[in-house]
Amino acid sequence: MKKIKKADVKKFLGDLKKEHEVFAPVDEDGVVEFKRLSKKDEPTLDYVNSVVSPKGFFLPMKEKILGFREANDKIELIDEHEVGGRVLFGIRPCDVNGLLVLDNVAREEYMDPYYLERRQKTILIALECVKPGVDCFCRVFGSGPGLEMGADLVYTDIGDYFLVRVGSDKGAKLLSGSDYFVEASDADEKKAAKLVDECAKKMSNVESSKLKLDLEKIRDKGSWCLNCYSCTFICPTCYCFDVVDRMNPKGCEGQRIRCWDSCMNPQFTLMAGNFNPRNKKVDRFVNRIRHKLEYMRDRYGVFGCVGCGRCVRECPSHISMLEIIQEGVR
Amino acid sequence: MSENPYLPATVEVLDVISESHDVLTLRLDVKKTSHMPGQFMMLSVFGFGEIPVSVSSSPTITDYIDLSVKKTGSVTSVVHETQPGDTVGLRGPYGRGFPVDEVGDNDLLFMGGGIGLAPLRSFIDYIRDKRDDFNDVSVLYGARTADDMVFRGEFNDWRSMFNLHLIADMECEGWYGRVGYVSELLSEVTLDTENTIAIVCGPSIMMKCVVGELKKLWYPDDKIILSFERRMKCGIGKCGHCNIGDKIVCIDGPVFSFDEVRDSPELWG
Repeated sequence: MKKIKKADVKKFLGDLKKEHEVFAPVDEDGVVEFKRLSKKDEPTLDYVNSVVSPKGFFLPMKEKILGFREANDKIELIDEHEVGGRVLFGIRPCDVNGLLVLDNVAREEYMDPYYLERRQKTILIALECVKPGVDCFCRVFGSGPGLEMGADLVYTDIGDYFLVRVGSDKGAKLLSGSDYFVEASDADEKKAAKLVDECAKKMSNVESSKLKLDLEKIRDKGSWCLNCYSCTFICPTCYCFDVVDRMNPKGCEGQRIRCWDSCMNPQFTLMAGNFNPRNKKVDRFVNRIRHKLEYMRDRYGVFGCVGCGRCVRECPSHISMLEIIQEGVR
Repeated sequence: MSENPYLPATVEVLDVISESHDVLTLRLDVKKTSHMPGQFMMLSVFGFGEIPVSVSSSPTITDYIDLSVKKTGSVTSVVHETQPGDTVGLRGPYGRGFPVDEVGDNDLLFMGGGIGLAPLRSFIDYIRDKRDDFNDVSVLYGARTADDMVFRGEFNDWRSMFNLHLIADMECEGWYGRVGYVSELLSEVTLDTENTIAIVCGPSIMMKCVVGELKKLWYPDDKIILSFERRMKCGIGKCGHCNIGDKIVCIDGPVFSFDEVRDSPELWG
């Protein structure tokens, strides 16, 4: 294993920028977001997590999936989706696991080319957690604070240095040829493991394998929901999207766009003819919870929640996913 | 990267056939269709959007495919302005259709409501063209009024081969047949319930009532086959819109046996 001096991280990212677009968490007025690093940006290496999950790098809030134009009475389709190489630095273990959840959806039966191409062309440099956030509960799902798989490189804060573990050939390639990395000692490795372990011990834990949802209690919580959709947009595993066509003002050219949608949206299941099978807010809430904690588990073998704590932090009604899980395991 | 499943083919509209005052059939230039009865396609009107539509023609027809569309929303209204010679987009076929190869020696009981006859017609015409492969067939069909009945041009054909019974929800001029709900037509047919598969498609409330009536006749749940409709945006299991509980309608369905979905939430809305 290798290690890198904290002071050298920015230089290393600077080197990476020569060949890749590099994105890292940046603190702007107390709000941490992943941002394409410019010269003046200082990446934040000591943070709980970004407000919005980095899923948008793979499933953008809005993207063109098709162009079309009419010429000489014929319709021509334009299928272009070019993605350059990117490095996502400082992604948390929960969010890496969130991507592993989304991979299941993108790969089931039909391959989603837009998402998968971005996945393939993005290098993930994860940052393990040594300090839990107040609302974090990744330990419940084993999706943090340490990271076993899914990233190309895994950094762990061990004081003056980051311990660096290689997770893939792509990751190994980044290290070779860089002068910033030195051999780590056994003591460094033990220290990193201990810090991550101590972090885990400070977090809530319930045996998710024993989960059996208490639907009555979930319905009750659903009645507090303000139907604001915040939870779905910031969630690293929410993937629902809408598809719309937009014409340019001249009317002979247009685009098909997909954009994030939310299962909490009353129109999400509304069909032409005004039939809406999930018309009630509480039903939508229950569906959201069951989708994450039951349906995805039964379908893909992984929970659709990674315990990042974002929905708990941001919910204006203080609805806690952790509480829902705890009530289902008791 | 492999082929893009979101990319539609451009297809010419060969003919536009009026089925009722608010339903028309787009006859599309698709040779060598690969669909099976009960599957659906994603139909694009470029600039206006994309909608799921079940294929209403039988796969035994190799010159074209039919998509029957009821004018009921923003995209379907534009579909209704389509003219022969126009170009539309098409992806699919998608989903799991009717268990065509598994019905064996069972009799078949089709029960359709309104535009719900569209996917059933694909199967019924399939049987018409392969009549020796199937046992007794009954078709019970109801619509709001006689004017709302679709595929009326096929009724004589069907009558000559199958037990066809029609019903309209309400009295109206020119209708001399039965008035009531489609489930009432069950009294018109003699069923060997142990050896009959019921295949049902229609509005949610109609399917709910029909299942209730079939259960009264001691129908086993796995012999009630239902075709569901849900809002869909992708048709390929990615967009999250169409789930009924743990089932994703576009890839697991749209056809389900009742025992697969009996306990699902919001089944009937």
